[in-house]
Amino acid sequence: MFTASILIQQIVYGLVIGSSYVLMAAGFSLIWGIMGVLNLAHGEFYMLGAYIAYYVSSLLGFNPIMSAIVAMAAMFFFGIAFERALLSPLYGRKGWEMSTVLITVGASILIQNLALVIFGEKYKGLPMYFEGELEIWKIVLSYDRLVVFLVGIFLIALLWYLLKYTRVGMAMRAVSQNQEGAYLTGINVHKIFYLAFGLSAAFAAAGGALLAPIYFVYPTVGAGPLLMAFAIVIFGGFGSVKGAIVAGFLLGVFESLVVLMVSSAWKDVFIFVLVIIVLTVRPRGLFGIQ
Amino acid sequence: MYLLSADGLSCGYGHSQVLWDISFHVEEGGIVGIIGSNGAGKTTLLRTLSGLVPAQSGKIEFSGERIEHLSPHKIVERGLSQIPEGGGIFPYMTVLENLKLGAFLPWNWKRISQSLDLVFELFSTLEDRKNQMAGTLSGGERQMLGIGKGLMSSPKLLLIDEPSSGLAPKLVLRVFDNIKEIQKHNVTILLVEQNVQYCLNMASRAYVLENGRIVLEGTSEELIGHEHVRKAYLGI
Repeated sequence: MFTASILIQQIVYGLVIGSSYVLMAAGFSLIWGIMGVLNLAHGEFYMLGAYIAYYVSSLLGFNPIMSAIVAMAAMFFFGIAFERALLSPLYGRKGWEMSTVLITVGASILIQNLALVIFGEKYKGLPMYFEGELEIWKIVLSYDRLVVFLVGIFLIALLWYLLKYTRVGMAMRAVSQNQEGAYLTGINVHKIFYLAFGLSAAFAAAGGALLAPIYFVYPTVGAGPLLMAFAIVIFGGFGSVKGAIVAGFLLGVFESLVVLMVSSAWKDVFIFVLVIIVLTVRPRGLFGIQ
Repeated sequence: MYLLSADGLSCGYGHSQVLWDISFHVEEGGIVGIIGSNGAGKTTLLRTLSGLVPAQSGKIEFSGERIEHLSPHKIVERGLSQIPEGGGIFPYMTVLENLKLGAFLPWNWKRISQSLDLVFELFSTLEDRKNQMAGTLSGGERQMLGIGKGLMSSPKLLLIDEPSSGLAPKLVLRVFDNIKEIQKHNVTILLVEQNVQYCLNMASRAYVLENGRIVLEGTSEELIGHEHVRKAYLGI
């Protein structure tokens, strides 16, 4: 059997993965809450973020933090362009929310295949950047993972601050709670839409970029995180960023405990059984509205 | 020149027309009322003025500028602020956050603390409840918050939709007292009400809206004395 230190070690690993899940799911949830759009190309934002970080890091020698910043900045503008070009023409049309599902699925397939053509099908991995590991009470954590975790936490706190205290962030929450009220408050709702989309893409990219030095990067690398984002958002409550944060960490830890106690092949089964249970017992999730 | 005027305004949703050839005006200062029963088109008229419903024909002029083609946030920027029925509040934000958002426009955001002082002076209840979620307020408090939020945008004209709706008679009096108070701060008010008695007591002039058309207009005294108004709305 495993000892307490292995258990704790696995929980810590779960928190590290969880921080990347949160970055992914928070934006996914935000877009649903604000725009009512289920962005099925969100996994591709993650994938593009990971590739940008990979290339910036391997070609220019940037450290993982710098490459994550570059990936976030690039994907912020990519997200805005995506929203302007593909989603904004649909607003106000009959049944436009449903059309966005088709558009984002299409975009997801297109971007994946373009990535396959441009970047190739080979798995790309980065060498460890910060060598060595931290050891406290028999818990071993490589510096790479530690950096991922700390940057992840910092970004989550930043997102929280942005939404809670800044003028634009408050406007985003306002749009998600009462769109007509937001219009009458003088908020340019369509501008909030594209800013939120850019923000969501940047945070997904951060999730991908931060894990690039730990895991491999390949054209379909975003599929898993998208599925996970779904599970997290169902678990935490659709449209709730707070829910995404709590559920992201919980599922990250749950996943690594399943890996430890059962096997890694079973982790998705366990996670989705949990999601089904949540949907049956508490359909609105932990922090969902209504 | 009038602060707000509409000329030959028609509008509707899809194929169903709601308003026909509406013309009216609001002069600066004071309160103008629009009265009418349920379904007369009062709310649609306000939504058209705010840019939420596009006008099919006719024109709207505000402070000497045509606004019927502008999007809602552009209209708020020009100083025309609407308080929809129920207050238009954000239920999962605190009272304070709601008020701050009322001052969303950059030039208002800079003077947020002065505006807050004014609103708290008018509505001390809101100050007591500033950290409470807006969704947990009572109907009357929500209405106050809606009005307070509208004031935070330092509007020239405030459109208020059915402030009495869903409130106990005692609260209705209080909300109307608040509205009178606001008027002293250089805000012109267009009050839309089902409650004809109250509305005519508050307003200096009013229009009667029936089936999407303006059928009567006049000073409040004239309307209170008018046979049609007495029969149809005051039950005398």
